[in-house]
Amino acid sequence: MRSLRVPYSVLILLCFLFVIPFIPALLASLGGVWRFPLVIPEGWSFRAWEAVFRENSGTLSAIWTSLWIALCVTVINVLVSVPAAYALVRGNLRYRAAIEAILLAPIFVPALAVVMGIHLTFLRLGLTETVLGVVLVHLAPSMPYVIRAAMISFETMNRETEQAAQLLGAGPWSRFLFVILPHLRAGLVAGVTLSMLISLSQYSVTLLIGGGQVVTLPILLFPYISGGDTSIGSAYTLVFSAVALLLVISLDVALRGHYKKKGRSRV
Amino acid sequence: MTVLRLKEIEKTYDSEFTLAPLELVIEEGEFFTLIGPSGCGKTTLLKVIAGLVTPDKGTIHHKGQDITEVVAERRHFAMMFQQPHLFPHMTVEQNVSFGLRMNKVPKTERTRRAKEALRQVGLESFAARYPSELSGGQQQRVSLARALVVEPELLLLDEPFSALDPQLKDEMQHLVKQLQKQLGITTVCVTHDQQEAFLLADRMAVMKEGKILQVGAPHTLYSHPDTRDVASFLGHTNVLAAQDAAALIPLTSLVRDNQLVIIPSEAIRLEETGTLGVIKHIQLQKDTALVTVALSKFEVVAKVWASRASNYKLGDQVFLNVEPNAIHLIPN
Repeated sequence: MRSLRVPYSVLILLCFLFVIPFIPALLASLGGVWRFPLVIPEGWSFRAWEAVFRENSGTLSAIWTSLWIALCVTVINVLVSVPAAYALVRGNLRYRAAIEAILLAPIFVPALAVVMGIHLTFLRLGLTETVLGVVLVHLAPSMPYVIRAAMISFETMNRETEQAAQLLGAGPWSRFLFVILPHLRAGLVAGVTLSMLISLSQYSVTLLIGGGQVVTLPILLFPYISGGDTSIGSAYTLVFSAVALLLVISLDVALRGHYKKKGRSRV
Repeated sequence: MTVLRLKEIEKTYDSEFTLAPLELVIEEGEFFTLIGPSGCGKTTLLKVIAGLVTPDKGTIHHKGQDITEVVAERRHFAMMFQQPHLFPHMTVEQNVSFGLRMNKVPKTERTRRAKEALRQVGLESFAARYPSELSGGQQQRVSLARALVVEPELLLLDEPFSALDPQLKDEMQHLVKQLQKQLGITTVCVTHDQQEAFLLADRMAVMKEGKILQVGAPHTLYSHPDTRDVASFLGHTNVLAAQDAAALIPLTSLVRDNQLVIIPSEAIRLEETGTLGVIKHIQLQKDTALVTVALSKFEVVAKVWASRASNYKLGDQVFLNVEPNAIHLIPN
């Protein structure tokens, strides 16, 4: 595969655009007072950062809770979406279009619209204020993307490749493991990354179902931004961004390592 | 010895297409070709043999055992498709040894046999490459090695040469034929290309609309087709009613009015004396030319050397003679 050449000026511009939003956040997190006429804040201090990483601030546990929930959501998403996508693409289902529409509906219908009903149901089931409840409610907005990604992977896979493997003696499991899964990998990297990020950034549904007991990063971050201490809010924003960025990079390295190394796969 | 016996096989797809009840026997070590126009069911029949399509009715016996219900992965057949369908994330060697790995062959033996198979197709130095680094023809050779390395009971070929350019096609056809003979692998090949069938097949079956019309050695089918369909599929253009043919050749009294006479175009010669006709059309090919000659009531096509055809022009009067031993009679 020939690599696409991007002029350095464009790259620098893109980096600049990516970095710009973080500059005010960084300044705010380090500043004491930042009122209207001041271009940069007055009086430097690490007060906000100390508050974020204070021993009883709960930041680290919120990071772990967020990551744990995102991981659970993503594992469930993959386990459900791969067979669902396989059935949708290969299964010759009746009402395929209708099933697909329902599965993909959460992309168009905001989770908040249905979360009241879910809340009532979860109350009866005792799932509110639990990590499990939050995991379940995070599935709704994230799963459609994983299903889409898996479907596209299946659609681009020739059935005869599977048949070639089958005739060489590969049973259903071997075919899935050695032929289908490697083909899905590239598409699943996209789905998994999206699923992780969507779960990480959920605020309202986490608050409603978690009832403030399940503390994820956005739950910790939000009060500071909406009227609390903007310095601490800015520091949390940076922490949040760093977690998300590190997650995306490590997922990419871990899952796509193979294709990067070879760098020549046509997938 | 009979390797494969198909009995009363039937398959219907959405009432649009039916594989008629059909019988087929494949003998050990032969190269058997299924040939017919597209949509005649030859690929479906191959997939029924492979186990990729379950027939609605009928049985398949392999060396005396009923394998109708046996899944494809347990039949120990191998298949080559129109496209190489290599596994893109595996090296060439891993691709070739995939079948051995599935059959739990130990690693050292796997490597040895994969190397040997790659040597047979002339790609031993490519073992560590990935499929995307190979040309289309090389990929198809890897695909052949991958099929042969498992020493399949039956090799199934689904138009494996049709996506290759002419020179590669010739090379691959010779390679497949040579390895098939050398290893003695019973082979069933699907094609729509007559030239390929005549080049490769020991026996072939001509199919049309889900039915097998006739089975036999390629040249037997060409010289002795059973029906008009087989004759025209194999390229016979001169299929004449008996009373018309009488104008060209003295027919014996054995020929009845309801019979058709097939005259191969290469059996008609343009000479100094004979039946008078007028040249209507000349179609030049590289080495030969097809000359359409109008007689009183009908037209025939003669195949002559291209160099001779250039002596004629449209509207010329010519005299036709027919090689009497080449003609063949079929019922109308």
